[in-house]
Amino acid sequence: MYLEVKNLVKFFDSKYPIIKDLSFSVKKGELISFLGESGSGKTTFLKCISGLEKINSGTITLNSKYLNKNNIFVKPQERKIGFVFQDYPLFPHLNLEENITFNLEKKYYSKLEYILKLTGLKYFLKRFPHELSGGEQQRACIARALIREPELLLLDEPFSNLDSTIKESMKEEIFKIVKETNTTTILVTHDINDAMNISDKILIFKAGILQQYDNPVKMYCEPANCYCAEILGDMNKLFIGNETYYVRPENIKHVNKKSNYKVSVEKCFFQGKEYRIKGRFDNEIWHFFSKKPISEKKHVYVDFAKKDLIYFDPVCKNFFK
Amino acid sequence: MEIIHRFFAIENKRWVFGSVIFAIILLAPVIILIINFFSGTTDTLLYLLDNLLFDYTLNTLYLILITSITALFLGIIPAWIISNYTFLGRNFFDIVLYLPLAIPSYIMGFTYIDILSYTGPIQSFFRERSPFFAEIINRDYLQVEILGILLGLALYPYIYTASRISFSLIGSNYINISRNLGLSKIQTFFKVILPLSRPAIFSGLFLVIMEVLNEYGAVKYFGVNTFTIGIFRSWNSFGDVNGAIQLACILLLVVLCFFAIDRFSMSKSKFYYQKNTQLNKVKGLGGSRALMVILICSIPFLFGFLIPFSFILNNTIESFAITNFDKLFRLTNNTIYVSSLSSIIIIFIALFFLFVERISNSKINSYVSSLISLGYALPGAIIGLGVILLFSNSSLLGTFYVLIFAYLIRFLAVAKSPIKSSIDKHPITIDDTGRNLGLNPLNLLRRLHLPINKFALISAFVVTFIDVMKELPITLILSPFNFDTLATQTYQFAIEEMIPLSAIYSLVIITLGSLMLLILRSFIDKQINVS
Amino acid sequence: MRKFLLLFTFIISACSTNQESIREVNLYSQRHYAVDELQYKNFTEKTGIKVNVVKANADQLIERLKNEGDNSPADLFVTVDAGKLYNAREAGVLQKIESQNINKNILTDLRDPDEFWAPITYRSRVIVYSKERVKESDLSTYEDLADPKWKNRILVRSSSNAYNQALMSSLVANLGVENTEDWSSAVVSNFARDPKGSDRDQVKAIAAGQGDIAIVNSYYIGLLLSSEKEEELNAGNSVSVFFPNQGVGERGSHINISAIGLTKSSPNKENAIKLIEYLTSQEAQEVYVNNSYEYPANSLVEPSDIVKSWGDFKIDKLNLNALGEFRPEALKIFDRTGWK
Repeated sequence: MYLEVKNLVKFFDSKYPIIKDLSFSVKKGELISFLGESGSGKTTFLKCISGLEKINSGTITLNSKYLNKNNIFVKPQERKIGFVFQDYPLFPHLNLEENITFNLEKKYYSKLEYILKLTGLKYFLKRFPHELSGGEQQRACIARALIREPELLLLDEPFSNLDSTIKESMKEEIFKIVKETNTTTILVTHDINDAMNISDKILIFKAGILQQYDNPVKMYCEPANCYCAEILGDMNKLFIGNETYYVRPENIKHVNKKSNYKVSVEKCFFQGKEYRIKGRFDNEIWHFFSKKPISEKKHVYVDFAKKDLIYFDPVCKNFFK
Repeated sequence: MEIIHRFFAIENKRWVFGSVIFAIILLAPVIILIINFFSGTTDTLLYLLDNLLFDYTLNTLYLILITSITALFLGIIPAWIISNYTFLGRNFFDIVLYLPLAIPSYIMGFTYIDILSYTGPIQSFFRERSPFFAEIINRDYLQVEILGILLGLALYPYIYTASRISFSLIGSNYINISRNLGLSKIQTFFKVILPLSRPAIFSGLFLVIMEVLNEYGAVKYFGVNTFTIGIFRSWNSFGDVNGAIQLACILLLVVLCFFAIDRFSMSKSKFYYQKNTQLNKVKGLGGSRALMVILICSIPFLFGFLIPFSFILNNTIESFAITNFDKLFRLTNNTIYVSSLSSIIIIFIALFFLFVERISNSKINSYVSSLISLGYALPGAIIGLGVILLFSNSSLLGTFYVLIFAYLIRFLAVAKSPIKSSIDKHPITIDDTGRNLGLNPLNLLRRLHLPINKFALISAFVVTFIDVMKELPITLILSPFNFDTLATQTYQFAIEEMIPLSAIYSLVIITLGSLMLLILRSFIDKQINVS
Repeated sequence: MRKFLLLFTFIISACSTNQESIREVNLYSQRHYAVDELQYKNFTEKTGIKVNVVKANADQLIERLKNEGDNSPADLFVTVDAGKLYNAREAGVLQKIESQNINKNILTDLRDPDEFWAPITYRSRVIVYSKERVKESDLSTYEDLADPKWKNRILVRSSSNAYNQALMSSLVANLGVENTEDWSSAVVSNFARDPKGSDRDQVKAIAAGQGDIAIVNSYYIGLLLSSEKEEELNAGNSVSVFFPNQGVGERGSHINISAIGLTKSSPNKENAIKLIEYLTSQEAQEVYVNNSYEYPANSLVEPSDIVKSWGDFKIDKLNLNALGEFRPEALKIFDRTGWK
């Protein structure tokens, strides 16, 4: 494995560990998303990987070198890890070119042109940070990280400070850049849509523990627990016998004949290509999609395939509350 | 095991321990004073406690009160006007309102009493033209209230500077919201702007109070017995050094409590407003209101600078013929040399401590960083004493190293504050990025913090330079042979009641200080405009 | 950075200029008049011995001498108050001078019987009075200032001032603690205002009518009477100088001296004694009287014209070490009687 994290523990106060026990690995060239709520310790995790924070126990291996193990600690400036921070901190006293080539080894200078072309920053070289837009600043930070061919690229919430129009193009852009340079990347985000679109794998992190680590499709279809399931999209709850089951909205079909599931429609949202229907079944809120609008207060029948039923341990729901 | 773990967890160990050792060296004179506090007799202390200290304390508080009120009025009101309105002469006032800082407070005192005295220009003028009016103004001006006002005139720029920056940074959003919520302009000022600016104003006021506590020349002349007079009464009159140390330690303790209370109350209300909003739009003023505003802004400048400056200039011209220019040149040289050398050293050491505090994850460094400011709470002569005791029996006393070492202890706090506020403005991710891009701590300091805090370093240099230039007691006690500065020469003439002869030296101090302040101002402007 | 370090080392090394010139003498001095610089310059021209000076407050210099111990570079300790020399001697930082040349030069009445210090000039603490409002015949002695006839008429500076402390010490030495304390409270109740300002300010206050008589140093009257400013000259001329305690059987006016002590660790003792000999010589004493308003310690020299115009007076022959010895008592009297 290229990056290997084993039993990582990190706390500032031992009573409230931020990372209780984290193990996972990443293959060369993979882009993985590290998904967690705000304040769950995502940035701390990145700082541990990059050496800006020391870890309390565990090992980190990158490209078959130990970065952290027992009392081995490779200093942040000696790890070949690129880190793009959430607030795109370009050095205010340097122009774009000086920022990108800041503390750069000679051998990488020849890559400047390539990186600039890749990030589309060719024409801004002499500008100072305050003369750049948010997107440009971010690309500059990525360029600054990539030009020194990092063994690992860390992106901390790269989209959170962008408005929705450039956000989409930035996503594509980052995906393109990362894949083209075959850079192993960990992208930290709180937004599932960012993660699903571009990642090879998603890691869901909650309460200091890895909840699930899988490719997006598998994760969506086979969430490990109700938390993972909910984070990835709406869930409709139903009781069969004494057990609670869930089913995804898109797996529910509006049927014309009578079925076991009669839903009273409460609201119908137009979403362009189809309608999203909010209704009530068995006192539980359900969502599903329909090609045609359904008027409110009407009762309709829906159905789904048995294989789309998802089951979780009943304590799961309470556990995350 | 736990200890080893903790030790391992400290980041940048070499820097952290280096700073701790360095801080201990810097604090050594203070530590020696505190050791002396507990040894030695307490006869003089008890005597003073019984007979005088209550009076001295009351006098000190009264003087602080008058000075603070004066300085607050003279500082805040013009700062508010200049931050919010355009009017004829706004730029001019924004420059000149800093200038009284260049006038040492004892020169302010001596000069004004000369102006107001029976033989001064005002009373003489009226004696010839209007004996009746002359009789009215023939008063004893050596009053504690007058002294308070004069000190206020000399010290208000501390508050002006602090509130001017703060008022400019508080964006118009707050003002608009407040107006929208139905507060009048004046209510907005008192309910929104003042509370938001409280930390800034308070830091300015803190400097004012420290200056009053340390004032010796002027209070002695005015016959106002403050706590500092008590310290020197113990030393100079009773010849009891220990008594002086004990009193100084008590003063230090009081200042520390005061400081702790301030910190505690501040910690509950930390304000971050730099990034919030765009700069306030300046509104124009016309007609009679403009006139009034100009008048208000003129008062501090006129009384704090122009009048004493003109009087000193006049004295200089009158005594021009008997001026020893060789000596003047030599003293100016000495002054510039010692002030710039020590200021450079002081600002870099201040930067070092603040930098270590920033890159360290250990609490030790935030204590260290606060402790090294202690020197500012002690009268200069007492620091000089601590240094003498520290270097007892060594041949280092009387060298420049020791003199600069003492300045360092005294003025580190002065240099720290502008650098700190600048460093705090940069997000910590700047450092993280630097380290991630391969900088070790030394390079982080050199290649990042040095350039991005450039303006703050220059500001710190200017304020430290002016303070060292005005400094008296340390320079007197620890000076090497044949080493006079403009300040010591001015003071020596002034206490020997040869005010006219001291004029040219004061004039050079004030001119040098004014020039430096003009430089500082242009940098403050840049800072305001950048952020 | 490297450039900066280079510059730094350069500056530091520039600081420590070598002090190896052999023929020199080092002074710690409380005196800082222009005339002193002139004297030292003349001395250097005459003998080739360089004079180095540190000027500061006397008590702080004593502390420096004490702590420098045997390493002290100082040879001589110059003060404007005999009390401080007494303190220095008590602190053990002085040694005996023992030079017949010096003893020959100076007035016997001013000498330290133990020869730890030698006087160079002296000044008297006198009474000045308003020519308009006070008759000379009303004035007699320091003791008389306690008389109720002076109620709200006396001006004087604060008790922080060393000259006042010396005067009070002389009274304690001459009259005893109790009498002096009674005197002090009576004088305080006669004050026209709280003690404050300089000696010159007291004279100005008489001119302004805020009081009628003041206790000041003769030296400052001289300064005022030589002022370039007409108004100050007028103020100086509105008062007359009165030497107290001149009557038959009375002890004479209180005086204090500028004097030089020889430090215990003096590294250039020979040069130091040469300097004292020079400063007390007729030649140097003429320079003092021509450039300041002090009385010369050398009996062969006459004071300046302004000073002479006040007339001759009888000096208090008290051993001047008493001005230091009785200082703590004097201070407590100030405090107990409310002399601020």
